Amino acid sequence: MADLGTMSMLLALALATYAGVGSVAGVKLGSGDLVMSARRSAYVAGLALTVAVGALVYAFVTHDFSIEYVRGHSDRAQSQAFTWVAMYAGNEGSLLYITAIFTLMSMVAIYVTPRRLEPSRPYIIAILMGISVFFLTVLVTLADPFAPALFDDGRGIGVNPLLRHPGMFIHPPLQMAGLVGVAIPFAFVGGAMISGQTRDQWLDAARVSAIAVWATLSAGLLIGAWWAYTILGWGGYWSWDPIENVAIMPWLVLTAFIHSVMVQKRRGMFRMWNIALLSMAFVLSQFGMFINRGGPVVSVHSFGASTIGSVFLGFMLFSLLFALVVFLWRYPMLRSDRPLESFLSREASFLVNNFLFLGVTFVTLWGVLFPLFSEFANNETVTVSAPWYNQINGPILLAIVILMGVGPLLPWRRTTLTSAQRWLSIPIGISLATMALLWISGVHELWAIVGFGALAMVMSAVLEEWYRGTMAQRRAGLNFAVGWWRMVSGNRPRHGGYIVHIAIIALGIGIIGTNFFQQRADVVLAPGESFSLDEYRVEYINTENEQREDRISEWANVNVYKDNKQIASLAPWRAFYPVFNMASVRASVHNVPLVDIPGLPSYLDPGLEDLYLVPSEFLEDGRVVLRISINPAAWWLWVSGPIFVIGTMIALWPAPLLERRTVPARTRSLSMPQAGSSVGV
Amino acid sequence: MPIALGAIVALISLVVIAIPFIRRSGAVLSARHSAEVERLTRLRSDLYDQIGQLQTDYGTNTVTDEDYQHQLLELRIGAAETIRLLDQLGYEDEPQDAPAALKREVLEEEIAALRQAGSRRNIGTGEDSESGGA
Amino acid sequence: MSYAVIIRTISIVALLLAVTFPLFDSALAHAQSGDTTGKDVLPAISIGPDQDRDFEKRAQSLEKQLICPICPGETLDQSFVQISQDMKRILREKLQEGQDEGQIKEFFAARYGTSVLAAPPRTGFNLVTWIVPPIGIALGVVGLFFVMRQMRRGSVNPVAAGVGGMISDDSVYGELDDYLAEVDRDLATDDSLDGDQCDDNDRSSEA
Repeated sequence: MADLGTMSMLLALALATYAGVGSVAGVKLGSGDLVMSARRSAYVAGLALTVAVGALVYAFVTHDFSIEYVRGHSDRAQSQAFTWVAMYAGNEGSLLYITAIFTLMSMVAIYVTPRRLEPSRPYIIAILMGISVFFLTVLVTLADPFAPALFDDGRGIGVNPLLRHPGMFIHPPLQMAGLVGVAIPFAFVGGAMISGQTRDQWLDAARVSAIAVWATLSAGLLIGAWWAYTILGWGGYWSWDPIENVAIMPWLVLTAFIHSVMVQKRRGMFRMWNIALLSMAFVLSQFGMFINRGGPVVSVHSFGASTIGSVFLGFMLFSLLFALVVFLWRYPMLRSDRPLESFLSREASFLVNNFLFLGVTFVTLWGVLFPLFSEFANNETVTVSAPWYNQINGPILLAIVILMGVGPLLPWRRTTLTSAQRWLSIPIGISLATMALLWISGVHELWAIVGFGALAMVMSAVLEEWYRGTMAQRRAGLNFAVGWWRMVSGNRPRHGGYIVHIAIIALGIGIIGTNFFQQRADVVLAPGESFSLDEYRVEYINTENEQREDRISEWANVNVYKDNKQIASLAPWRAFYPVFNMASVRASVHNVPLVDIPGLPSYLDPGLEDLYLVPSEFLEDGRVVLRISINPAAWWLWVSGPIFVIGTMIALWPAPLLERRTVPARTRSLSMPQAGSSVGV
Repeated sequence: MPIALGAIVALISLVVIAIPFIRRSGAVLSARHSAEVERLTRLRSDLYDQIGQLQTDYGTNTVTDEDYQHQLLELRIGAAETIRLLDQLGYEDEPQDAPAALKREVLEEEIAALRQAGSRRNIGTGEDSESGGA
Repeated sequence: MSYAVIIRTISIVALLLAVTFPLFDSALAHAQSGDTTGKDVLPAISIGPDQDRDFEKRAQSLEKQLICPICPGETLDQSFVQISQDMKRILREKLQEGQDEGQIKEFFAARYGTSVLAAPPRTGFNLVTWIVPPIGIALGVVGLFFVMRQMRRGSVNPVAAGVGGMISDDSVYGELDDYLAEVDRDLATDDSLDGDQCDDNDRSSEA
């Protein structure tokens, strides 16, 4: 199997090189056959990489410990299901996965390149294949997943205990696919710039691929947060860890791009800026790879192999240089067509949106780099962690939320102050009312109140837009539901975007709830003892344990009561892995519903708060050290996921083309009665 | 066995990438459609001229508001279609997904008709019945 | 195979994935029935004094501001190892004695180095960490203002204004919309006639 794997990687390397070089050579030489052949080569490179991945997975599933990577990341005791995903656990295997998924995504991108971008396609292929070639070269020379084992005793070491969780099936593939996929919109733009198609031919391809990649990244980040919530056991989900940060930075820049590209589409403005954004996102994703694989920053996530790190740093710098050169070369052709007519317009609000998102990106980048800077300049090691990020990024994120409530209500081009006041009065009013209500009902946490107020404004802005839109449809005699759907179908990117905003509201509610109102207690309980936190009483019954080949698991049987009525029986557990000298915990999370919808299982009811239990230690005398947390609104964090997906799907759903729609009779035929043929639209 | 599999994959790859050379479609990319491109570009300029004329007419109140909107829209659509065809010329012979109604010939017919309408408008003022004839 | 089909498929798969996993996290709890009848409720012992919720809150807030010295980047409240438990105990003792946050943080920094603090202190060189972002943002605001002013300076071409305004908010013409926009741009660069032909106020044209 190792041989097959190595052969496939080498084959893929050769094919990708040919694809990239051949595409450009074909254009220069005027040979359509060469261009065609090069394109096919790109497709087959994907096939070869799939074979390589298949070989690695096969090796894992059949416990082929003659391969060092398999030996280092699996063992016989591992459950069969996990052998299928163990390949992402380490540096080499995850790099192979990244290369494979990237090449597959490139295949799709190349295949669906719109007709109008045809002249740029060879250059798009060249860029995409160039990236694949880089990854493959690293794989073949520095990070070979198929390297033979140093010694084969027929047993493996096993996978890091923290990775033995269902999240392992989804988070790494999605996250890595999203991060590396950032290159695809960049390739569309880059290819178009090189071939001279500097009009907006690349716009739709870049926009659609950017949204798809953005959705993948969002899903990856959210599921990663959920995974941390259940397996790391401290009840948190985001710690501004360097690896988390480098994953969110491209996401932030892509979010900025998704918004400002709408201005380019509608008004022909911001062209240069959008290209800069895509380049920034791409460079940041390469920066992420550098930090992740042997970058100099300490993190719970890093794979940590230092020679590879400098190679990725080099590639990142090369990407930056490439983007700059191409951009400066085509700069004169990229002027904006229209001026900004007013500070009070949707275009202006998108500019502010971009500014704020880039602000968060800049702050995050500074936070990641400062410890290095401090060591270098001041010879002192400092840590920059959650408290710093919360204090600095917090206000900017709040500003973004407020903008979300204002921006959609501003019309394009310009509006008067009185008009703006009229549109904004309801959302602002609702926001103030919400804040007042919260204050009256006893909530005195200032930031939380402002946060909720901002979220209320966003919700009312969306509802106001939908109300007016639906009412207009109603004039045609439709009922609310149909009218709303008609309105949404009529402008999918916009209304899909509003649904995504609603997902952000849910996320915001969860963040504010868990951040400001968490209650926690670490207690030692003997069997039979209880502890009361707020309205909940946690009663510890006993501990059971189980010994397996690779671990010793213990779990604490616990009953939870609310107002003296039992609401749950939980068993949070902890497993110790002697080989790794590590423990991993699995929290028990009980969703206390806001309203109990009959027929729905408890985890689907809208959540009021989570009751969260984690055992930190099992003492010899049968007592347990238990962490009990009440995490208000945590459910809303996770429900934002499906809402995100629905919104993105609607936004991306292609609208029917002109040909298939009926156009009003006036324009169907020409102004000459004699002209017989219709335009056919 | 695995090595055999690898060899097969390599072989398939070679065949796949060699096919375009064997089939010899002979596609020469540069300047293939220069004639068509020129023609469409001229069409587009014509239409732009038409629009300019229309706007002049509107300025001198030769055309009614309604007509102006209507004809402007038609001319713009025509110009847009022309540009779109220009784009589609890319490396393919014919824009394969264009439905019949958008074929170049049909489009040219209509543009010619529009041009005629334009010239007729210049001759007489208000005699033609185009406003109601749509 | 068109754009549409591919995007739909990918999106539906993503939807299924996103929907199935996180909401089932409670389902992973290993539920077992236990004997729940009539046990006396005995007082529990916690690591710190639990009678005073406010005190506990202060202690927990402090935990979030200190890093476990041997763990990679974990704060005390995230870490359960022995040294973290010891530090938590110590900081509670100090809080009891009446020391404030600053003093306690200084104590630990002296013992384990500045890196034990979750955020750099606002003194000396480390003040730079705190100052650069606000300065950067302020510069950004100024820059943004100038950029926007610069963008305003281009003359508003009335033809572009009039012609462009006719594209309604809804994308009626689909793909052709982009080409229409291009036509308008081409026309705008001629100095043709003036006249704001259409009412481009979004709010009324939005059906």
